[in-house]
Amino acid sequence: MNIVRMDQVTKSFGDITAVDKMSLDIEEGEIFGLLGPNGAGKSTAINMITGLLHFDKGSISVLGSDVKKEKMKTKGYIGIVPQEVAIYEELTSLENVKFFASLYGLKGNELEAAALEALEFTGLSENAKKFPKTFSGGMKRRLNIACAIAHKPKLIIMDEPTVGIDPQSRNHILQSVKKLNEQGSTIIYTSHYMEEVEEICSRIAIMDHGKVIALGTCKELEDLISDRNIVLITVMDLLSGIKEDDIKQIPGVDAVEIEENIIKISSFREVSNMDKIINYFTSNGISIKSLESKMPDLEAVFLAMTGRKLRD
Amino acid sequence: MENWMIGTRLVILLYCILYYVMGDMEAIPLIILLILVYTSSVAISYLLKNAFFKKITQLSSIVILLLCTLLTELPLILLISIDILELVSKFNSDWKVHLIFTALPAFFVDVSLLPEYAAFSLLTLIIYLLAANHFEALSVLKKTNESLRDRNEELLSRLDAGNEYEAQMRYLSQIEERNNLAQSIHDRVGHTLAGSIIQLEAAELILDTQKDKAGAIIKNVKESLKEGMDSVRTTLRTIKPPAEQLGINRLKLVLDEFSLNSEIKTSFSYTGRLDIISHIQWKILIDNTKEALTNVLKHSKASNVDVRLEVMNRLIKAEVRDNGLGAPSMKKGMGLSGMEERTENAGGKLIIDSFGGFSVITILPAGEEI
Repeated sequence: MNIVRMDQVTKSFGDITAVDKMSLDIEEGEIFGLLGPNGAGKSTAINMITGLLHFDKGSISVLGSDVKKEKMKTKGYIGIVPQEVAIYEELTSLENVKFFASLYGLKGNELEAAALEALEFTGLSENAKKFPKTFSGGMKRRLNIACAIAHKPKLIIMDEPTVGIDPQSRNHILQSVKKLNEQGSTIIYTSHYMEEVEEICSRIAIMDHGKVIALGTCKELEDLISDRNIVLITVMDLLSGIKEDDIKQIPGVDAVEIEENIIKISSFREVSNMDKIINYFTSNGISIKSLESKMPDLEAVFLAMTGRKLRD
Repeated sequence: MENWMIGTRLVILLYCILYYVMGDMEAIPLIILLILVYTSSVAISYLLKNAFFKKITQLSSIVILLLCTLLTELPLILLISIDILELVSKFNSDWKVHLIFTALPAFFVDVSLLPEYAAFSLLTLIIYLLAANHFEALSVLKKTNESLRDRNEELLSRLDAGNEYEAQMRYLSQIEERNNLAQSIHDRVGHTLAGSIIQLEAAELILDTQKDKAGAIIKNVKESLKEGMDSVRTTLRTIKPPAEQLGINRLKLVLDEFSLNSEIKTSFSYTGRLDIISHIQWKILIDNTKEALTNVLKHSKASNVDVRLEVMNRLIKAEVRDNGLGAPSMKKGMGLSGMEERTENAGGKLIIDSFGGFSVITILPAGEEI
């Protein structure tokens, strides 16, 4: 079943079309990535799914319920981690989580248990009684996540949850995203950091100017622009007697260029032949100084499609 | 021009009549007669076409006015500078000369009337000069307008002729091509078929009597028909151009036509395996390029437009990018919506980027049967 279905959704702000006839199906159990430069329409799309923003045309349903007609029902399915940290600094961590969870109808012991569980999950149990004033940016984010997941939503939406925080908290957040997914939540994750999206997302939509311009797994997207990897091998000796034709004999190798002591090998990604390539050098007594493998990444996909970079 | 002078006359005449009514003067019949004679003389001078007679009547108007000054007390002489100006301007166009001539009648004017005369004739002169200036400027504009219109017509007719020539050339090359085709069909297929028919008729005749020989003939015919079939195939293969050649040529033609009809420079480049672009995709790419170029011409004020076609592993990308104004906020018009629809119907995407010049990117899936 589709957890989110967007059909021809359009949203304009004055003359600017933020989301342009966007259609998208997100299946249950996915970690779905929305990747795109700033202003591509990621946050607008998400705010329309969560019901924060009205849209001009089209329809959106969450778990089969229309977000316009059954607003309360669809909101209950969703936990939101917004781009800007939204917590009360005057309340303790626990009180914050309890407050947000109570908005979804949790009460009494159930509420207390859920809040503690959420804090435990985000690694903030020890800070349950502390005020977020004293927290680092990363901890505030984690608290924000705890607030979003305490009511055990089926769909968790995270809008750039790693912007401006330290690498450790970032890692922690990425790990918890994976864990939440394993525990059965579907996750929509927006970011303009393609490394994160590449690491955790099962499927990715690349957005630009309010449209989904490409959709698929990381590999499918990379496959759009090229089915080859480039391996750059630098050898110690200029006159090492490398024969182009010999390298071309290695299965999967498609083209070879030798320039001074750098050998550029283009090879089909489908074939795993790195060991054979290295073997060719070592068995011929040629010592390798460095080796670099260049795969097209999502950044390259975006650049190839639009001529622009994900981040300016 | 004339209207201005007539208007000025009317004003002065009114002034004279008022002067008369207020002044309590004698000799009404004579005054009326003189006014009538003067107006008819002026009217006649405007009606006449012949330059000589025109001058004569204008001179007579002046004489009538002088007479009026001598015979009556009516200050009709105030009108004289207009008539003098009209007459003198036929001979000389310098305003200083005009000034001198309009000053001359002052000798006939009663001393008490002199300040009025001076004021009126100066005003008249100024009106006259202003009107004359205007008319000159207008006639110059009219002339340039006319010559521009002529030039425009000439260019249009030349363009028509050019188009016609092009159409003719296209038609001729089609005819030639068809002729070649006909010839080649005749040479390769016609002979084979004709020969085969004759041999088969022979075989039919001897089928009952010489079975072996008939069999041999039929076998022969079969062989030559096979050869004929092969040669038809080869011909077809050689004359049917591959899709990428047709496509790239059409795209280039679109660009050539564009740079021919505008001041905007174009550049074109392509990379990748063009042969995997299908006929339908070529059509979409070409239509979108045309539309995007039209937009460049209409809105961009650009000096350069770059068209780039790239075939990647599973993508076909065609970009039309100009270095013009861009459009930070714009509504999609018919053109862009049409492009979008066309592209999305073929499973593609249209990416419009309007910062730093305007760019339209058409993305189509590659290597799929559509």
